[in-house]
Amino acid sequence: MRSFLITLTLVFAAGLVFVWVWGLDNRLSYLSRDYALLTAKNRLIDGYSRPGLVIFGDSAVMDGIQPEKLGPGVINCAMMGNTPIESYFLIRRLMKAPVHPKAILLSYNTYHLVHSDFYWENTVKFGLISGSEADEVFGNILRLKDKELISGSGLWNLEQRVYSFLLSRGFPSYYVSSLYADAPGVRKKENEEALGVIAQTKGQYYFPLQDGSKALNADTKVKAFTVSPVIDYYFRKTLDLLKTENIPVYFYVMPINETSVPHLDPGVFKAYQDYLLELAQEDNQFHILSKFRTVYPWKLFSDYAHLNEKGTLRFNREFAKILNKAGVPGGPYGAVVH
Amino acid sequence: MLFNSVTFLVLFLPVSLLAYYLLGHFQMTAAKFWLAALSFFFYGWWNPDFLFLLVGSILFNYSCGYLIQVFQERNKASAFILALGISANLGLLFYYKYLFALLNWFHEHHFYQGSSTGSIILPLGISFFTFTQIGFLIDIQGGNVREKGFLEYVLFVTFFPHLIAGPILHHREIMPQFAKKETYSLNWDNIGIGISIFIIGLAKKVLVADQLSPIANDIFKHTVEKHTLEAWAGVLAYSLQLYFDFAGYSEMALGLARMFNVKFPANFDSPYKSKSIIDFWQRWHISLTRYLTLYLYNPVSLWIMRRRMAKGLALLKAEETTLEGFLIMLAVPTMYTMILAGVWHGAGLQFLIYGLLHGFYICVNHAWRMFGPKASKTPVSRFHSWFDGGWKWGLTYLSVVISQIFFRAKNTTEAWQLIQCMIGRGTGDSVGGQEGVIESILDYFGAPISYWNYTDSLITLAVGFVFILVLPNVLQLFQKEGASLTNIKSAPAFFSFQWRPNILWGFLLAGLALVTVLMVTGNSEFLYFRF
Repeated sequence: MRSFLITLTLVFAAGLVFVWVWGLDNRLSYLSRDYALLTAKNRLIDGYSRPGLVIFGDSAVMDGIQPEKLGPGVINCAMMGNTPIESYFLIRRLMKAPVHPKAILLSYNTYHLVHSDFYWENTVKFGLISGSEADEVFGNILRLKDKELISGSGLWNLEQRVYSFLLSRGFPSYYVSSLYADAPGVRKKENEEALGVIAQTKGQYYFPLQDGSKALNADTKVKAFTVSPVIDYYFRKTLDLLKTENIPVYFYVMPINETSVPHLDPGVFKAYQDYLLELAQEDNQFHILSKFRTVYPWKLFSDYAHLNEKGTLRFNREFAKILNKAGVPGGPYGAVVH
Repeated sequence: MLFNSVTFLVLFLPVSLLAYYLLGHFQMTAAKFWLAALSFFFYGWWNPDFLFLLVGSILFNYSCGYLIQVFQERNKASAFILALGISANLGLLFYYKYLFALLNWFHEHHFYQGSSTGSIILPLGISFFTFTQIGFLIDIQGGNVREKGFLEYVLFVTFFPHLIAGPILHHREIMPQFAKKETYSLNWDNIGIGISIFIIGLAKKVLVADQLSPIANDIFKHTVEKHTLEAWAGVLAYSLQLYFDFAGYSEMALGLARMFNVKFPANFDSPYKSKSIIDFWQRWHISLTRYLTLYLYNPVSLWIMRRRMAKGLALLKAEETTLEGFLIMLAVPTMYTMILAGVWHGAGLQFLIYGLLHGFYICVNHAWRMFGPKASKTPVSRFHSWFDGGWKWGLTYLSVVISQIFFRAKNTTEAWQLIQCMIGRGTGDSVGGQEGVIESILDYFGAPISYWNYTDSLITLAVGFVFILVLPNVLQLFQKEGASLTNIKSAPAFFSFQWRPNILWGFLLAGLALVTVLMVTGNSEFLYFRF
């Protein structure tokens, strides 16, 4: 029995450690494209050396804002499903880069101030935040009793504590399904392409392009605007951090598909604006660039939220003017980039 | 907490075992307390509020048991306490399991006016711990209980490997084990055997049952639109999922208990190898069958027999049995027991039909044995023997599969719709809704359905059946070591081999454990948790 138990324990432990270490070292080979996008944006942040405007936000921003059309010091660090939680940690990372930006632009739709649908799936799983940062966020989730990010059931939330801890440390069970999600080598190739695209576009990345979409924006699902306590906490923390660093912050609401407008709850948008105005009143370095939400024709969208090539062309022209008009530091914007 | 969750595997189990043996090394009572505390913690993990229910149920039943013993000499008083205890237990079960379903049914059928009555969360394992304790009370009244220690009783009810989904334990086989000193001393043999059985059970759940679940769920979600072949594949997938899920759970429970030096009775013995429905119930959920026989079937059957004897009527002897005698002495108690067994699984007409079907199957099986052609005593050819075994197996399995449709469906309408699809009367438009099985298979090869991947599903099903029919089960694999308390000697498997505590098995099981742990997601509940 002794040799059996020793063999069982050693082989199992060695196998687990091997898979764990290999998994952490080779994430680009098997994780989905979102991981590659995250890695590419981290590289942009770590190598940030030309002071200008740095943009954070959700996928509509990642797809819609083209830094190369705006100016040489602009980079787009927005990512799929990002909320102020992710932006806070990315900005904290940016503050360790060789130079500081002249301004920060934030943009989240209504939905991403209420829901954090990718926090576990992308932010923690893909290591956007480190293990200790995940522990910090989890502490705040518990403290603020944020039901958006925690089920609230179970003894002392132990199940979710363990999940958060192990997921943020790359425990292999949570990653294995990615290993066989595609044929071997497919994801690595796709991910390397994505890294190249981000390096070239300085952060902009298109969703699959379509010649128009009448799909409804996620904001139409929001029936009551109640900011998630943790999102609110990190939004305010971000503003505090940037105030300490004396970096002005701007907020812009990305255009919405015309087909979604009739389905939007006017009360929700009013509450959203009030929330942002309240933040602006509390912090004189926080400026709201959009007083209303721009509506674009459905032909300019690829899907429910993301602009297509024609859409981004039009948007970036208009957006450069808005930035210049507001005197956002790091401009002028929209000039030919060298 | 689920046995197949990362938390259980990487934290709960190692910490529990380590502390158990450390405490057991110094003081047995401390280890007992630790085990009881662990079990309460395990139960409260899901919903701490229900801990009060469990503690209340234990205190109430133990007190009833104590009072029954105190009034043992006064029959009426002890019978009254027993009746009170059983009523309270059944009342609790009725409140959580049936009351709201019944009220909703009345509301839906306009027997009850006013707003809908809503629903209630079913406390995990309530059917199991309630039944276990009712059995204990009945046995105390009958003077069949020797072990009476409160801690042993708490462990008998709450010991976490069986608390949520069985096996339904009998106090006589468990309480003495908790009273023994050896139970709390480290025994590497039991650790090795327990881990091995647990790994095999976990692999069945994670690598097979959970992989079959999407195929089955898809079919049962949209029962109307299915094509014949799809319906069959889905129903067979569910049948295999249920098998591997329950086998996996039962083996994990067996293995876990063994790691704590406790032996459980067998609960699962390759039921899909059965060649009769009577044989099936001796292999499927064995502890439930035993419970039902002991506490439901036997009392009724004995009562009927005594009455007949008093009237001077014939009893159940093969050559003397009349149809009337068969119906009264066998069919009545069988139907009554199986109807209650069906309803035990949940409120809903579908569970009643499940019980009725099995009651009917068992009666037919008994009738065949009594009144059907007698087996020839002369030796028969191998082909004849295979053929004979084959049709019996096929008929038994088909009967079980039909009943499982009712077991899984949300209601009888869904079950009926699916049966219609299986006989080619579905409205599936992919390959032609009104065709028979043969046409469907031919059409399938000619025109595969785009949205449903037949090939993958069929391969998964085929592999599942090969595992079930060809390989030895855990009881056979660990026959020498005695995997369970019950000494079951089923026919050897087609490929027969034995587990050995050597380096080769160490490698094999480590590999299996690694693959399984890597596939664990931690969010897949056991099917029997519903009950």
